[in-house]
Amino acid sequence: MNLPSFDLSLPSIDLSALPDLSHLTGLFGSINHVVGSDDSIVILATFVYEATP
Amino acid sequence: MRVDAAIAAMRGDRMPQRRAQAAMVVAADAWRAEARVAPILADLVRYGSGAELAACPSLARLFDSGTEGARFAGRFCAVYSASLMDQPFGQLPFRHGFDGALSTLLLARAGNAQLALTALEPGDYHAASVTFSDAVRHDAVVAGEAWARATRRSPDGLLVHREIRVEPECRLTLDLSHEALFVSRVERRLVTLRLHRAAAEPDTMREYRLADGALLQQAAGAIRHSRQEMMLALLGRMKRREAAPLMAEIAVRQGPDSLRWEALREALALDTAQGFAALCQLARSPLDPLAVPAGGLRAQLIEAHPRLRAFEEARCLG
Repeated sequence: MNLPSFDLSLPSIDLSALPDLSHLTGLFGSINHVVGSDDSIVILATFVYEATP
Repeated sequence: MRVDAAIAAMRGDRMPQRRAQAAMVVAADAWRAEARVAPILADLVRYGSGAELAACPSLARLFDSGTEGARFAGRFCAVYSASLMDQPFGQLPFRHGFDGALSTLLLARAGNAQLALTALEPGDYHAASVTFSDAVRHDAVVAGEAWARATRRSPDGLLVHREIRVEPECRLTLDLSHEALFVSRVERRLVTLRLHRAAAEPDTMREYRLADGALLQQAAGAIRHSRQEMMLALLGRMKRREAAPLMAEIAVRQGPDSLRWEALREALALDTAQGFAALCQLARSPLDPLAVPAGGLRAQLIEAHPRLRAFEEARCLG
């Protein structure tokens, strides 16, 4: 994002002070929506491993 | 523990199992190349990349009122019954699972589409909630008898239920974003050929309580979105300040609200100017679903850090 030059030093903001949305959203696969085996969490974990081995 | 002599023999000689597996793969390739199967799989590739089902006639025929679906499933079972008779230690080279009630066998997958054969064991099944996901499903019942509850969620959030009899020749099409089918009683093992296609940009998956329609939980509709969310968190913990402009962009562009909000939080924590500029942009976009929480957070931050108001005013003048 291109911002205009602004000389004022801004405060640092602590992540823990920033609220979540009122309805949190779980990771993909965290709702087991079918009766039966579901390996979507394994797929997700594999993706993350590939991204950050 | 008793180990069958044939299995014990494989400990010393791996070749029989390798031969069995090679035979399974050959059978799968031969099945895929069959004259009645190849056009269906070719159609699945088109359907998986976004074509209408009507534009994929071989695939669509499996789910129309005829017997093509049962014939297709029957042929698959015949091929593998013969293969397993020859090679009883072979493993079907298709993704499969069984949890004691439901077996699934993924026959083919292309793009966002999957063609699977499922079997639900006889018994009574109960659920206290219903889940909707951004996908479309076509079912062709191949065998069995069951009762099911079809649930539809209306735009005002009301859940409407309908009991339906499920038996061979039964064909169902469900827009899973607001329609769901729950099989409550299986009298004879219910075998279904199932075509599932997720939306290209799937919306959040949501679970509602059946008793009152209350939202119980929600989850990302696509692996990609969760992966990006985890990457945001990782970059934040690594204090990669150079990622803040990209995070600010993610926050203000189209995408899942959860991902955008996390991008906003991480951008604010890494680089106040970048994050706060994105926050103000969101707060000033009344049609954006994040406008209200962004407005609240903006006010909260200005109260805690009055210098941010001067920053915002300078930006508007700039």
